[in-house]
Amino acid sequence: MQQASIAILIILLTVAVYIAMTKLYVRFSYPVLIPVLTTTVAIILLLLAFHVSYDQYMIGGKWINSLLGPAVVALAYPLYNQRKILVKYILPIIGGVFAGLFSGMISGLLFAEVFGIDRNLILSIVPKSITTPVAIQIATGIGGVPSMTVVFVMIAGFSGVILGPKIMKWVRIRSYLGKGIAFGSASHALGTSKAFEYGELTVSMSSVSMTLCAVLGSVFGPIVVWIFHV
Amino acid sequence: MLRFIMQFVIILATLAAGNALSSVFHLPIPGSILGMFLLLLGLLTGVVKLRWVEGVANSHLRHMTLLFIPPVVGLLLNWGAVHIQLWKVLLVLSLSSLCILLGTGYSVELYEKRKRRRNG
Repeated sequence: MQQASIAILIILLTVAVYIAMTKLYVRFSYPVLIPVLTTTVAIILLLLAFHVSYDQYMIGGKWINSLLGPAVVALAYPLYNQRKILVKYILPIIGGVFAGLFSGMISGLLFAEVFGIDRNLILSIVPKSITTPVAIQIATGIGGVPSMTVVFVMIAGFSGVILGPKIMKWVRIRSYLGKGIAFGSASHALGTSKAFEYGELTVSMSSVSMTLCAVLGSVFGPIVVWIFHV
Repeated sequence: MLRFIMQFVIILATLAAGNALSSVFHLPIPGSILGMFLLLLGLLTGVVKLRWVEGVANSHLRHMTLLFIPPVVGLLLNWGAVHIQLWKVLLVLSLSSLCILLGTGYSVELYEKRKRRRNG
């Protein structure tokens, strides 16, 4: 009984802080105020102030975690909405997504190996370019550390969004199709929000690519890891 | 509210079916991805109506950030035990993102050029 009330209290607290921080972000919208960062910091401060351990926090936290599965299932909805555009551009999308998926996973593995990064970290790096709920599933499946993967996914996303526009200008990738698919494959949801600067076609391309990368990544992630014997 | 719960039950049922498929056939694909396929299939065949899942799917995806809070809290609380060299990780992730941008961008650009040549 006590467990249940602790769980409910923690869930309510997390949701309340999240709502407050989202409002703050909408109001000021500085990049440093992204809700995931501010909410996390606020909750950590609360936990430290009230001497709550992480294990106690997770009594409620695990319920929030368990919503990741339904979130992945819900991805069917945007995919369904974009079925027409997916069918229309099926060849470049599939080709681009495969190119992005494999260049991402293999380059991640190789660079991690070159820079001498620990094995369990390498496994957490593999799904870094895939939208977070699916990346967590993949990381768990291949033996990575899910919480690390969450952070890597964010860093990878930001790096693609920051580097993307300049690089694509330099190497003269001009097609809106190419830009959209590249943003979606490299930077998932962050890339899709960046794609808004290039117009609607780029946004839909990015969003479709992001979902396809997630689907194909969950199939090929374990295979790539197995092939490279990491 | 009841509508919302019903919609969520549909999503959960699809997830359960996906998980069952994954474990019964020992598939390497996570149950949630299979569930996504099942839901997509349902929507495409018209077995599941869009308005049955629309509301809940939309709000679930919009507030996905909430779901990443517990793992990140855990990571930051245990930061002392994490032995990573941040600059290495930043470098690896940025270089790899660069590879994706170039690999994807070039292959699509190449495809479009060839298509234009064939049509022109």
